[in-house]
Amino acid sequence: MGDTIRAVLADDHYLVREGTRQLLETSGEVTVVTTVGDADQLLDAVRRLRPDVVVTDIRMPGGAWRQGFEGIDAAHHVRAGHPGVGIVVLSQYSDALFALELFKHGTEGLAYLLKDRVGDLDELLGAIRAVAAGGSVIDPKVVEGLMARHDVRGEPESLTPRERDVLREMAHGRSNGAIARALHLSVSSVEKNVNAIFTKLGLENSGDVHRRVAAVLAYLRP
Amino acid sequence: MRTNLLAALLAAIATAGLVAGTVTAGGPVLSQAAFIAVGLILPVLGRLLAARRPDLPYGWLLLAAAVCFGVGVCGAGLTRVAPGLAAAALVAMVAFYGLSWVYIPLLFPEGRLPSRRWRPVAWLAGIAITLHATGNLLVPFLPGRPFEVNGPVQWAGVFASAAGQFTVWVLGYAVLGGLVLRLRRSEPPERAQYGWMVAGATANQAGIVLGYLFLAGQQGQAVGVIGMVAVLGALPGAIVVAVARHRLLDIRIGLRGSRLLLVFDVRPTVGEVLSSLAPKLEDSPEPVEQLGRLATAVRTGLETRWAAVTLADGRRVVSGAEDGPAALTLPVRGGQGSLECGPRVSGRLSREDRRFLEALAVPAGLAIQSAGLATRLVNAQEAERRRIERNIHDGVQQQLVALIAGIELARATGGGAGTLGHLREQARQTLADLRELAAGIHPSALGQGGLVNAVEERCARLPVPVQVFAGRELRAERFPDEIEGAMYFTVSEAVANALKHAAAARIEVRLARDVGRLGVTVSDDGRGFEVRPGVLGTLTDRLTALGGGLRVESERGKGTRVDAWVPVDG
Repeated sequence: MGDTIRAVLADDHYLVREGTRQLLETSGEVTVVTTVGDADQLLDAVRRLRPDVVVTDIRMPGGAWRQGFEGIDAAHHVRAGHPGVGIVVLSQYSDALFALELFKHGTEGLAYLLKDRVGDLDELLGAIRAVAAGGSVIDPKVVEGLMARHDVRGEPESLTPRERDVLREMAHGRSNGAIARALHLSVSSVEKNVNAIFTKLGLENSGDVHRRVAAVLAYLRP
Repeated sequence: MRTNLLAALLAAIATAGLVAGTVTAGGPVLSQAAFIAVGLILPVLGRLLAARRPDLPYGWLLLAAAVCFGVGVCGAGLTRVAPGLAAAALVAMVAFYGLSWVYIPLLFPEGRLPSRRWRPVAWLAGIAITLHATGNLLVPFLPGRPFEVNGPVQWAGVFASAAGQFTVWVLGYAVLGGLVLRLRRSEPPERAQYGWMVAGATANQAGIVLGYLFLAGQQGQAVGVIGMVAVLGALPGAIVVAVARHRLLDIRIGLRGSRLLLVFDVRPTVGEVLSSLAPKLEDSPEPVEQLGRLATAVRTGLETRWAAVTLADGRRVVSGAEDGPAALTLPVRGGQGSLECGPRVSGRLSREDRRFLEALAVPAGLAIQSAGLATRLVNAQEAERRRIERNIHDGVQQQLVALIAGIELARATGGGAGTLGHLREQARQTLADLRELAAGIHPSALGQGGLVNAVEERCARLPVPVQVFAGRELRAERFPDEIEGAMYFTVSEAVANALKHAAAARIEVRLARDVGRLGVTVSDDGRGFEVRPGVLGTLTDRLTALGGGLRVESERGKGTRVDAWVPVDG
């Protein structure tokens, strides 16, 4: 990719908006084509500027949107009207409820990240790149929450600790190669684990990262 | 208890007169015993009714008749010993006849007139009985004495007595006719009660006829005995049957356990229901549960199939199975809802039941009021928590996110002293905002230094001159947390409103401590407004819950004055 990724940034808080813009622009990978303060302006900007990705706050008071869900609802609108636009929703809530709300119609091209990820540029850029390519990402903390919920439900645990580590990385939208690097494993070992996970969960194996996230969600969804 | 004693005393007088008169009169012992036994039904019944249902006049009416009868019998016994006293005492017998002839059937079963139309009958009967008695006093007639009339006064007495007696006799038939009419219109179980009363009154009248025949010497001893038993026993006997078999006046006679014990099981009075309800209401902290207990009290008290408490906002708590339209609906005190009840398990709801429900409507209103208050307080607390949560999310949390982004930017770009200084300012601002937020939740000055300190601290942060007046002793005094909290937030809200809405230039806060009362007044010179009910509703609820209150006085262009007070010890 020679070109930079064109992004629209939406956040109602001025300091956050400007801070994130400067941060993304220093990377040299992202061009912020405009910044907006609410969901209505966001939809308008997407219509006019056709960005590659949208990075939006989950909560932006104003307009006739569901209160507290403005970012998620705007994301669904954008995906419905412009399927090529990837969306990263930045959220203050680590509660899985909001992530599941975002992914309720599918996971393709959507990422749910906690807001403190703005302190980790690589992570943020990784998510932006993933959604721009139609992939999918869920914040590891949210996956932890989902896993904890899953454990609380008292169903017999079928995965080994290693498999759970791999599952967490899969939820993060990583390819087998990336998982192998993150966990310091060989690619073939990761492949073995991934196959075991899908067999145990009765899910269809697939190389698509967004479909793998969807599979993980299907497993963890309450 | 006093009514119970009075009833016992009247019954004792009646019994004493009856026994003394019978024994003095002499005669066969068996016959004396039988007379006393039949004569005792009335005072015993009267006493039980008056003691159990002192609110109903009927028991007292029976007792009055019993006393008249006792005095009369005593007079009859005294004829040989003290003729003058006997003649006076015998007049009581006239009153007894009048009462049992007219009033006992007329006022059946509760001791009240069936309708206003019967009022003239009651008055006429009273006059006729008085006439009869006065006439008898003027013409002393004693059994076994020759009957002589001397002079115009005694002739007047004879005419008065005859006219009075005749009128009472006619009225007696009119009342009996009315009773038959009521019988035909009534439904079970009242029908059975009226049936017995009609039978009793008829037997009573037949007994009088037989008695006259006996006195006129036309018939033998047996007729006289039957007549006497009918006159004395028929009405009380009928009432006893109506009570025992048809739950007249909601009194039952039954056997409890294996012991042969007559038990008078009375429907609880309003007082009894209230005194048993109060601790139950105290035990149930949940407002809905309280209303449920209230509905149950109505249902069991009135023995209806179901009862419901409905609130003005449409909420409804039902006790029992609601299976049709309400038989009785009453608004509760304060108009915040209504009490409803279905049909009785047996029979209809009487006027007495309506009165019962009316009496319960007062505590019901209070319970509903406190239930509503509790709900509003909980809602206000929830709203406050949500507000705090939003403030944290939109304020401090966002600032920290911006700070993190800034630090990451500085790290990625190797930010210099300028960038870091800028970030430090941002961190300080975040801390200041966090402090402000915490103070809004619970000011630390309130916990540490007490109410006056906290109020001064709050007012010192305002952009307009505010003066806080408080006594020296009050400054050192501490109150329970909930009182200090309520008063502090009253001041806080009032000064915030004065600034925000009234654009006040000067604000004055006065804290004062009276005997048993802590008050605060916030007045400003702002725009003022038209005071509508419900203004500062959440604060009012909070103060009301503490037993205090809030008053807002305001007028356009003349500023606003908010008075709040709560009760305190000492």
